[in-house]
Amino acid sequence: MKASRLGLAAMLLSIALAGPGCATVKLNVQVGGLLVAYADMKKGRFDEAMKEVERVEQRTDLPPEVRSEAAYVKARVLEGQKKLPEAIAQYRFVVENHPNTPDSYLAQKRLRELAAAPAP
Amino acid sequence: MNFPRRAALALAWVLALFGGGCTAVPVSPAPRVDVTALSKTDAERAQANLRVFDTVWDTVHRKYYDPTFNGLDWAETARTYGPRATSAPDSHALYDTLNEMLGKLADSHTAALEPRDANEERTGQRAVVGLRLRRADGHWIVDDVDPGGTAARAGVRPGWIAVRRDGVELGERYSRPNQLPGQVVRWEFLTPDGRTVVLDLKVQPLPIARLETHDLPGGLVYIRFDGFTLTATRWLSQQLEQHHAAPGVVLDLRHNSGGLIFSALSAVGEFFPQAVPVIVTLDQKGDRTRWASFQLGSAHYAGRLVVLTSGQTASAAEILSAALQENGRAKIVGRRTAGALLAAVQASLPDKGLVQVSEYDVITMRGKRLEGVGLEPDLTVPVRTADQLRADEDPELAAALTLLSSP
Repeated sequence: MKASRLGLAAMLLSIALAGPGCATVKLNVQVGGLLVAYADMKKGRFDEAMKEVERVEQRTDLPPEVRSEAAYVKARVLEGQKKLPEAIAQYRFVVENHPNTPDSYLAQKRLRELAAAPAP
Repeated sequence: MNFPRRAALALAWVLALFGGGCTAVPVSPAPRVDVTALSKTDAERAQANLRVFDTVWDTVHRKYYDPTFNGLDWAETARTYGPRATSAPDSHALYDTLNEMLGKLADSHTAALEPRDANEERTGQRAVVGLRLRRADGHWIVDDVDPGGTAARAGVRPGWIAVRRDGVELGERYSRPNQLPGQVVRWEFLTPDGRTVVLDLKVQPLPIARLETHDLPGGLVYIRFDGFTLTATRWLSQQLEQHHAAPGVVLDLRHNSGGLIFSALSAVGEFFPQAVPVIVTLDQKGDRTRWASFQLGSAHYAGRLVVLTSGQTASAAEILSAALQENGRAKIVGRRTAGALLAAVQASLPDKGLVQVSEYDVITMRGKRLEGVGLEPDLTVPVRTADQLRADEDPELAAALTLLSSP
């Protein structure tokens, strides 16, 4: 597990280094944690995914687009953990705290889908 | 209509490097053909048609960005359109059927291109006389004349009214017909002074992405490019490098119908000192990717910038416009853009046609989905009237110059 994460981080770093400048390197490395979270989510490992998201969230130097993405991914992970009320609250948090972002758009879309879904 | 809807205008924002090839033999739920009752020729055509149909249906089935297929029962569409496609008597009829089916998805980019149009896509050239027409006040007005085309050499001017082509009056829903390089087409025009002009114009291959630059008053520079090809964006970079000291640039995207994603991201990079996030894409499974501008080899142009847009500004051109507007890097002047923004991938068909499928939804970094909506300019300027075209007046360019000249 750790080896694959390190491999992923190394791959991201190498892709980033092939790019133009420090800004890109920084951006991609930060997204790296989220990519690991995405990979965990695909495998159904939502607790692991939550740990990755929280690790990303704790960073203080995140660019706004990564911070809003992390908040949105957190909502998706909560859904995966079957914590629907918490997920809805998190989607609302994204809408209120990260307006005018792709994540706000996606959170609003997901809230609409959840509202239209039949009650379990 | 061999070249469907806005897809034709939008050219396609193609993720060419992503490929689009199939790993398995494509198949659809369309009924199979009983060829025993057909002649050999008809049986061969039917089977060839079905192979094309299966590839189109299957590519959409596996790759289309919207897992609900716009609310359609996609398997049912195969049962409805499969038999019609199979029995199509020729390529034209086959592609009409395919595009009727794809049209049910109601997006700007998903379309099938018959071999002639596919070849134009591959070569980046189109067999034309170099006229762009616009419907206004019940007429087809010459909106733009390509300086490299036979129409320009014959003296056709913007503002003229196109009346007939090869003796046939242009209908309300005129679209570019099939024509081959070397073919001579008789065009009939009405000039502003009431004269009828009949010209025999030779069809010739012209680059889809027209490139044009010239100086403007006050050291400003006008740059126009009509498509996001690798050549066009390399040219753009060279122009910006050459005019690096210019205090301002007018970037004319009014006729730019899009192109390659990588070219769009490179073009964004030309106007920023470092990489900026540009868009987020989402595929059928909901997987997302954030795309940043490419800066490698960029001119890093730092002067003032105004972008001209119109209803024909589509796809990759909308990405560039949105990225510049959202980052406060440029003012957008003109009219709302086409609202044709999805990311499509092209795949070859067995008959050398192409199917282009929207595989990714696109959201801008300010959380806007432009598909079907378009980008609102900062300053709206009404479309040029026929009189303004004839007088060679360009109010959008004039507004851009005013903006660039103001403190």
